[in-house]
Amino acid sequence: MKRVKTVLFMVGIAALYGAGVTGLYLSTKGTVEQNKKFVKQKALVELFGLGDIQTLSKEKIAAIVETQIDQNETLTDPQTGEQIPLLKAYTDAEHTTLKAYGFEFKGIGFWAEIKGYIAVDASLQKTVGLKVIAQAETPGLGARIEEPFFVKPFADGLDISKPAPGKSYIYMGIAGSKPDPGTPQYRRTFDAITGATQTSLAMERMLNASIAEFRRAADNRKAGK
Amino acid sequence: MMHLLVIFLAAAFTENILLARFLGMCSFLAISRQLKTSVGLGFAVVFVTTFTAAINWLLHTYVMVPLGIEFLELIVFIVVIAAFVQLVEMIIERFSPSLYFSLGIFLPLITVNCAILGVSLFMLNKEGFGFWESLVFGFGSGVGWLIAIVLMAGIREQIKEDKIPAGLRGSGITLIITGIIALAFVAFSGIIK
Amino acid sequence: MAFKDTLGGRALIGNLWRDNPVFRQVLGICSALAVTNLLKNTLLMCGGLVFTAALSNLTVSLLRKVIPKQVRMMVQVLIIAAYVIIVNIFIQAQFPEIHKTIGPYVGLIITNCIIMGRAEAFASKNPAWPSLLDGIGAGLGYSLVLIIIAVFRETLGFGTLLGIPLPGRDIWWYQWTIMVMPPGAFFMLALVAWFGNAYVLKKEGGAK
Repeated sequence: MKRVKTVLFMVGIAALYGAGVTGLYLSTKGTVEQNKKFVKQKALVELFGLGDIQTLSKEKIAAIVETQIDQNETLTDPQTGEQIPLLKAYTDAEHTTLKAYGFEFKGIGFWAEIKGYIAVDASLQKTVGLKVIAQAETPGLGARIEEPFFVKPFADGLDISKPAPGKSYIYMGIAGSKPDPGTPQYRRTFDAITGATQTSLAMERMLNASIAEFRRAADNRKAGK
Repeated sequence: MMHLLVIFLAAAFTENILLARFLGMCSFLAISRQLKTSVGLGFAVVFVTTFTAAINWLLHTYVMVPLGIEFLELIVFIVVIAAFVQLVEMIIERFSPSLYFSLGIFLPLITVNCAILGVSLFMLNKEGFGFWESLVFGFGSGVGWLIAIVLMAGIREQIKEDKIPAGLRGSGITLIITGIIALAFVAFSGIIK
Repeated sequence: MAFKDTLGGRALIGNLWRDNPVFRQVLGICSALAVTNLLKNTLLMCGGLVFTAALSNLTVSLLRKVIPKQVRMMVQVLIIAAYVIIVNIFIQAQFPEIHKTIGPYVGLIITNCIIMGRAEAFASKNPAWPSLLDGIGAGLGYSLVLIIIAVFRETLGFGTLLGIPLPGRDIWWYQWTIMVMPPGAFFMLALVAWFGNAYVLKKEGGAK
């Protein structure tokens, strides 16, 4: 009898608290989704430089994303069959001048998943920006992948054309030292974060994987045309 | 087979849950005074990490994802861990009362040992992990923790405590030793890409 | 009876320094290492911990006569986890900016040995009001130690406090990266433990 009472108590209290958490989750689900969508929109506006996110209102940012960024085309990686949505950012709503392309990258960092976007120029061979939208790395260390100093090499332009056989698309480098022209790392290096080796290595891994996928898909698109 | 061995070695050494990710410190610092107790606690942790990693993988794959209730994962995982620790407590109390007594509060505290919950959460992040990979990953992580605590206990038993200033004895000196070992392990972090 | 002589009073005051959860009871170490490299995150974590410790101690104490012995750990952890997750979901919806900072620490609060340790050692055996005070005391004792460590780590590792650069930073500050990484936390915590333990021993030695 005592055993039954124990089990009943356990089930009862689990049900009570489970219901509490589930109830709150469901009631806030809409708001949380909205927040996530807004974070993504803000990130895209910032990535492509389509407006000052500090001064623009929520509605204005949403409008910019709706009208100036075309998300209709999807590239296919011939090797894995993976679908990669291609973002096209224009300077205005009439789509007269193309500003940049963009695609998503994601992978596992030191603690959890890191997600973000890479912006590339019209030739699809050079980066023009990087924006991380989700990460849970160590604050003050790995989390610095969101800071300007980390993003700068990508904004200045890294070469993401097909490298020599056996070489990588992107290399992790030591801050302050610049690779010489002629080496495989030239114009393909981003600065590692001191004290955050694992996060920096993870970024190198996932960026190489995502860029390789994109390269295959983009070249396939070109060949298809 | 080789692939499982690699997972085991990575979990126990290069991704050592205590020395590389700094989880599971509380009981590590408090219990590592005595080698015998440390071995006992270490084995208890191995037992819990192995089985909870496996069970949590099964729950995640066959219950939580199909039902779309991943948001409850944190609670479910930790209750599973708690259930297992309760089981371990009953076993130790029955078979080794001296170990039960020397572990004291740190036996129930295995429940909230961040290392064990960490193992279950990290296992979810690993791509392509099936049941056996998760089990081996849990086993390897537990063994890594066991190695770390036995290492520390071995060092502490050799220290002449009377040469250390009174305030630094106990947790103080252990923290410094752990800091030095942690510094050494930082050197390993670039080895396996 | 003066406050400091009541069961609750003794629990709260004891937990602040003499039985400090961090360097005397050796609890809450994981989070002490993880969050103290930035003062802002430390303050948020401490706030979360005082709140959770007080609330969970209160609940466990109120239910202590009802919880069967065989499932007490599961129940305690369920209560702790449920409170933390409820607060987390609420913050995620209402204050997404704050959630971005403390999101990763949710797991660290649930598995914080202090909360479970005090629930098991004190709240499961004592009445509600003293248990609440014990929880608050444990949280405050933890906060005290962490704030001291964070002030040193952020100052030496980043040259800022709460994100604000310190005056004269360009002149005297040189980056001690090791302070931002875990080994720096170990050494700082050891120093605080040394100071704290020596002080407590001296006081006890003097009283004898």
